[in-house]
Amino acid sequence: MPSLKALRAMLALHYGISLQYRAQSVLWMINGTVPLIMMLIWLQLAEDGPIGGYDATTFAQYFLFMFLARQSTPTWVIYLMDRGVKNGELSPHLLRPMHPMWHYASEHWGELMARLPIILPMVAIGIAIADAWSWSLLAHLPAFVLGLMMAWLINFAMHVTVGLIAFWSDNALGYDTVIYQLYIMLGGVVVPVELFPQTVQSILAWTPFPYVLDFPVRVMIGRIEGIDVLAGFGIQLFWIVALGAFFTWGWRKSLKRYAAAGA
Amino acid sequence: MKYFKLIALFIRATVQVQLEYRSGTFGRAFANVLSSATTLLLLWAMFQQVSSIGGWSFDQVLVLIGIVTTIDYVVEIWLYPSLSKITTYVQRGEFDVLLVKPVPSQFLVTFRYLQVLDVLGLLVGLGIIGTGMYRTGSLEFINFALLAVFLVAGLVIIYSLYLALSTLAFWFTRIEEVASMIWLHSTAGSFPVAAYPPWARLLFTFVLPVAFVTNVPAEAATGRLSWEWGLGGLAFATLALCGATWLWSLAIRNYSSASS
Amino acid sequence: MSAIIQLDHLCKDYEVHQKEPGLMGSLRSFVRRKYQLVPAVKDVSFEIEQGEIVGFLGPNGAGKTTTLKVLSGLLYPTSGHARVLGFTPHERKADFLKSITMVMGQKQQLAWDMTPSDSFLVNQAIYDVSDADFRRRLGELTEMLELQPVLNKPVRKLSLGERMKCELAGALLHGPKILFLDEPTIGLDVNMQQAVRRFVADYNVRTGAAVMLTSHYMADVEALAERVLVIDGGQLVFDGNLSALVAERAPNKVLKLQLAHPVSPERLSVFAPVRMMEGLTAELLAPRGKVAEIASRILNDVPVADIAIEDMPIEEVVGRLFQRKPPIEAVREAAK
Repeated sequence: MPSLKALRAMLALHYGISLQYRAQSVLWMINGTVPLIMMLIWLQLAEDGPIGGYDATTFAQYFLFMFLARQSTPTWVIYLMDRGVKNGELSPHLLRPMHPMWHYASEHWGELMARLPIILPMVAIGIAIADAWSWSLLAHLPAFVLGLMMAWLINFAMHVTVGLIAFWSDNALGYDTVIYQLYIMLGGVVVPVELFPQTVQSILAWTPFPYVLDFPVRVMIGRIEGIDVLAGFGIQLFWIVALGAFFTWGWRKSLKRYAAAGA
Repeated sequence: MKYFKLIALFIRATVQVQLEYRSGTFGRAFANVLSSATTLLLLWAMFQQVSSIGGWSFDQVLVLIGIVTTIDYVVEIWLYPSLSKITTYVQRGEFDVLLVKPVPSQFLVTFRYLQVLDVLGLLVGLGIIGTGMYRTGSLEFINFALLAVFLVAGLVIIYSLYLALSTLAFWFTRIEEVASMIWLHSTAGSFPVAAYPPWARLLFTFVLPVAFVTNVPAEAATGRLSWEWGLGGLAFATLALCGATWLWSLAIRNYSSASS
Repeated sequence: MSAIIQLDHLCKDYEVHQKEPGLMGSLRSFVRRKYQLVPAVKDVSFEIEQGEIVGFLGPNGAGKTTTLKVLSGLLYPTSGHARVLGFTPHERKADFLKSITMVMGQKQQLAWDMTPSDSFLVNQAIYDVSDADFRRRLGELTEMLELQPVLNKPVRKLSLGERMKCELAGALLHGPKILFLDEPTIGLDVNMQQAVRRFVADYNVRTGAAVMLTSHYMADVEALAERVLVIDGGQLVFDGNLSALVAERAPNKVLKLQLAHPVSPERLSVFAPVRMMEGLTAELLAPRGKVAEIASRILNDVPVADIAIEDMPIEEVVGRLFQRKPPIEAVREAAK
């Protein structure tokens, strides 16, 4: 594990890189607007009355914070791993006294730091327009932030585990699409997980997907409260540990196959 | 004739590259099927809560989803692989190689990469359309004919839009991200335009014209297309294609005179 | 003194998939893919001691880079053992990685969009280099490699040579005890090559670090290494003193002539054996000690537009080691 000083230095570096591509990340965000489009649909549907316990305000809050959660957790690490293995770009990272994942993670964090200052005002404006503000949101904020951080870890762990395919097959990018679809579709970006049919919900509960986006968002809008919040954190922690352990095991196996292509 | 031969050659070369990366091919096919399955699951989940979306029934939206899936795959296996290279050509200064070829450059950039191996996704899309049409009882010749016409028109619009956005690469170097906005059509287009608030309907009709790209073909397939929308779709497609071609030729002229 | 690098019967195989040409070939290999194990390194053993500079020679694909990658922990050996500073490289322990460095051509450890200084600061933090050490080393490196003007420019705006120098500086900021240099001068102009060479030699003297370098340029090896390892076809074919190798295997230098008018090969062979003759270009083989003398005689006698004295290409030197037919004999035979 790198020292705090090393982490800070890497963050500063990647933050700097991301700032240079500011315009690019604005546009990139446009492509992450699925929750906002869905909000429009659901708001229109809810005009005739609440749906499954969600009224217009709840929908607005759900999808605005879903937008925030979605924009806070994206990862392109499979792409990085695929390129790293194919072109040998992983080599310089392997030569450093630090797990290469720290480098990839800090690239994501640096980019996030550049992106949040654009995202947060967008969410605030959205809340103002939809007239969806409530003071109780403030009380849920700490739990939301904690839940998001854990969600980031789950999602990253999921993706790096799938990314190990890069060591074994010519093209891991196809699987990137698979995991991305599951993350989006089953995470609540299109339909709030609570509005899924009961059977689907109970199957989903056994997967990490609802804990990446839906869980923190529901904590934020107050649809999960009290002891259930703690239980949710517990399950998040479980997925982080389980996926992390599986990845560590797989990484060791996969590295043996690394052929350090290129130079 | 020469052009068909060229397209065949391009396909051949692309397929050969694709065969090299076989697990990638499997992975993509798997991803496509999975993504359709999850989309249908979500649609079904939505209709557990409501009886119609924007006045469309489940089966009618099913046709819409089928059309989005079909168009999405055409973008994925053809337009994206081919047109996304434009920015690369320009950035690396490789464009001159294309210009000296005795074939229109627009033809070259349009057909260069046709990943026909990935047709599976296309079949899934057409299958969903067929199922929806069957369930709405609209399996009639006239509907198929209209569907074909307006599906092509929709593709022409998407193609023109994508080409136009990519053409901007000649003036603005970092345009890839703008061009990838084209993918928004698959989310926004998965729902009837009538399901959006009024201001968004305008946006999705004239700016990101999913109304013409996905809604109109779906209405045609289910025999609900009004002649105003039909004519509008054809007119939009024609205008878009002419506009994009004009922009392209403008860009090429600019490029040739700028680079010595 | 004990060896700090020990390589014991190293073998490394790669899995390569066989591709047949044509569309049908692609289709066949898609359905049933054939893999072949290609041995890159076959049973190589050697030891290197502290402070040594060892040149690692061999034609392309001989296994040089593979060996370096095993020694630096990037690759797992198929069989055999490597010990470096008492560590098993592929375990990639942090203490091991902090004591070595590897420079691989233009492999980027510098962030493309940022300045070299930014990347150096990150390296400082990752390798736990104290501020005092960092400043001192960066100062030395900046001076020796003349980095001052480029330190604060974005890497993408640097020339190939400037980037290479920065890569080298970045790779040495943590004061490694062993340097693995894979083609450190490739693509550099002659001045830059010399600067890098001087620098490596000096670093070796000052820090007592061991250096293993591969290079296409004989001059790199001549300037730096007393001992050379020659590897060919994955096997070690020579391990010993460089001057012995050169005296034995490459006693000649190559005299490249650009003639002003056509001249018959017979007229040139009076001065030295003709290695190659094509139109107005000719190459002669001159014994090392007599190159200058032969050159001046030629300049007096023959209409020469341009003249250059070069080393025998390494491939040929190595080819001789392996008892391949050296080109000079082939030429002689053809002449008969």
